[in-house]
Amino acid sequence: MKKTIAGVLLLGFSSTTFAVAPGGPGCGWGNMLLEGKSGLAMHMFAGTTNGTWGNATFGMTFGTNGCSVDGALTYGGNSLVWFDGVLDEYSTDVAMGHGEALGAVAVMIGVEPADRAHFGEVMHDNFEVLFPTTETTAQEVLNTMIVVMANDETLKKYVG
Amino acid sequence: MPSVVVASNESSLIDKALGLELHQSRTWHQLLHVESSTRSPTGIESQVDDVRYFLAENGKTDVQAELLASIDALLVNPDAIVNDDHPRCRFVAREVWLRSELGLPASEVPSECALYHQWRGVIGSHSMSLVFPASYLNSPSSMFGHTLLRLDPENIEEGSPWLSWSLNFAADTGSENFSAGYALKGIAGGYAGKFNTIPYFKKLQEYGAIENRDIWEYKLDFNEQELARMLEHVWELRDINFDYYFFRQNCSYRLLELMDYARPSLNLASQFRLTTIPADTVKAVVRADIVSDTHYRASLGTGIQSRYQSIPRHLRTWVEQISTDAESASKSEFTELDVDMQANIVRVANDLITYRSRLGGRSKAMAQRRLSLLKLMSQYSIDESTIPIPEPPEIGHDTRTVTVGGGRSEKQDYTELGFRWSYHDLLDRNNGYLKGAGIVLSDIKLRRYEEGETQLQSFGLVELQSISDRALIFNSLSWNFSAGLVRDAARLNNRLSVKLTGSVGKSTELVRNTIGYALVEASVAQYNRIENNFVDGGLRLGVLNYFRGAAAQLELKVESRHDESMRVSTWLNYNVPLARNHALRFSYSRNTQSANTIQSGMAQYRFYY
Repeated sequence: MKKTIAGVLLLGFSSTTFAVAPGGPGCGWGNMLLEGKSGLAMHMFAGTTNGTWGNATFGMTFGTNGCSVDGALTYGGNSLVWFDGVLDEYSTDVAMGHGEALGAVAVMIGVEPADRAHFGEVMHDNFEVLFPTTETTAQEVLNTMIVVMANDETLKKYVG
Repeated sequence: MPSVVVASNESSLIDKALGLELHQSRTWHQLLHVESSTRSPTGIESQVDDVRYFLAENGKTDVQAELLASIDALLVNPDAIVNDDHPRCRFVAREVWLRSELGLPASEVPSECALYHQWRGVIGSHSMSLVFPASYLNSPSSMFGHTLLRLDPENIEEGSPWLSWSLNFAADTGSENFSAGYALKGIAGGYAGKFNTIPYFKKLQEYGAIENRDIWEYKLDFNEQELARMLEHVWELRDINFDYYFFRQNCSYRLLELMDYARPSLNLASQFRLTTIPADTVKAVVRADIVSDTHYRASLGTGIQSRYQSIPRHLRTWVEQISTDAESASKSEFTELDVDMQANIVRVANDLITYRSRLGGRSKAMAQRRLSLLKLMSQYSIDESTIPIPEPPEIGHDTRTVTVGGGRSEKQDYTELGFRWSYHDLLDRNNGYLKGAGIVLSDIKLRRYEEGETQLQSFGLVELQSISDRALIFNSLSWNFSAGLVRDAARLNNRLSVKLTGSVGKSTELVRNTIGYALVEASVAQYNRIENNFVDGGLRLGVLNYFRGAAAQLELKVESRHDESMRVSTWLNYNVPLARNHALRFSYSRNTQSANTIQSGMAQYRFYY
């Protein structure tokens, strides 16, 4: 498990070496919030083709939102661009202290089942540290998470 | 470099294949997606509409030629594998099956097929669920539903389905916007259908968070071998075009085919000959007894509605207040409340602002408001309670309906027979369906008066109804649209006319299970001569009540008729289900125009199948 978080840590910090740093301006939490669709035509007819997004992809990738380059952040074959894509739900789960996005992040970074509830509580207690402003990027959240975990008796074992 | 050299010579393999009549085997037809076709010279044809899928020139219609070409390209004379386009990299399931049928040793997929191995490494095959995003508010066309498959990685049991992948068959509409043309093209087969695999959390976001559809997940009991078999075939369908037809050869049909292929003892797809309604495929899968577990995910909207109703009425204003200004939670009137109640209110306020921000688009101010709400919420301990699970869609009534009834109109008795091709109207037993939404297609009524001939009373081509009960906190529109042939006793001797009607307005839940609505309506009726067009406008006020599966609708309509005086009508419809697929319906109406009043009443038995 130590390997896990070390990998995250390494990747987290190596991102600054990209020419266009992932998570630059315009990539803050506020810009990662999900947007919906509305309009009567959409409501009336959207069902007839049974699918709306990403239809042409037979993918192994998570795509890119212009903030994190797919493949730049990976761990164990899974892209951490994933994390960028769930920032909205992740922040909500952290504010509540539980939820599936929180659980998925815990799995991704190798937190063992016995420690997941505690992981949730620690993140919950540190909401304002993790998400200080609407401009906070996924990268910054990830980096802060590592620091928060390092300062916790139970979770520090997952950090290098 | 070919990684496997086949010892057998071509003619002996081909003789063996023909001797075994492999080209007639069910598995071969499944792999080619063959079905009978009147336009094909051989009487059968593949539903795949893509030359890349066939190794023989006439492979689409000639399954034997395709078999021989496949034996040649995969087993006898495979070219050197230079990239992933090689037939041995693309037609993995074909090769596995041919080897086993022809008594050849099984062979690993060549390591040169890098993309295949990469894909199989990413897409989990530990377990699989059938996923049904239920219909969503204000969108009757979504009532047909949609299905997709969820494929889980090994750590699913301890982790989160957010790490799973979805396998989805959908029309490839490119970047076209939603419109009526889009819908027609979808219905008529104007789009190509393709499989796609994308991260499951994106589907959760699409359906649950953005479209506000509740999601049902049916865990299926396929084992890893069966799933591997299925994925070998799914890989063959990568980027391959099928014709996409909304009503039958749609998402759900293709998924049934895959399940049949994964486990040959299943016979799911063949149960759907004319139409494949996604909700019906869920029922078929449940009937086949392959579901091991059912999981319900409430959408954001459903969660808000349910939790909002758990807040006592006198405290509900706090929700709106805190969602607009998180600071107001520090007022002493609020902090004096029970802390669990505070937590619940703050959570609903947060969910509401999340919901609204998704509708309204991103803005700096909105992001700031949301962050304030999240910070506020993080100061509370929010319990993990989930909302009550509604009745699952598979317990809903079946989707075709026949009716037998009798009534009296203008002092004449009549009998009436009806057939409705699909699906559900506002009054049908709503267990497993969305309350206040209806979609009716091809609704035919034949009527015979005591003295007179049997005649077509009406033909409803399409009717969409949406009477939302969520206007309570959401600002949603209610509306209605219908097109079809109808008779109007007061006009042109009760002749048939083509009529289009649309109405739009607001609705709100008056008390629990009772929705009140007010709609303005406009209609145009055209008779066979152009000078006989009638344009009417009206106001409809009504109440819709649901009680334990029964439903009643009372409506008052005031109409300004094209060339006549005002007409005032009232009607009452009452539907009582007797069992899942049986119901009685009673209706009464009274029309008054120029001091002339017509009353009519009818009783009807309804059978769904």
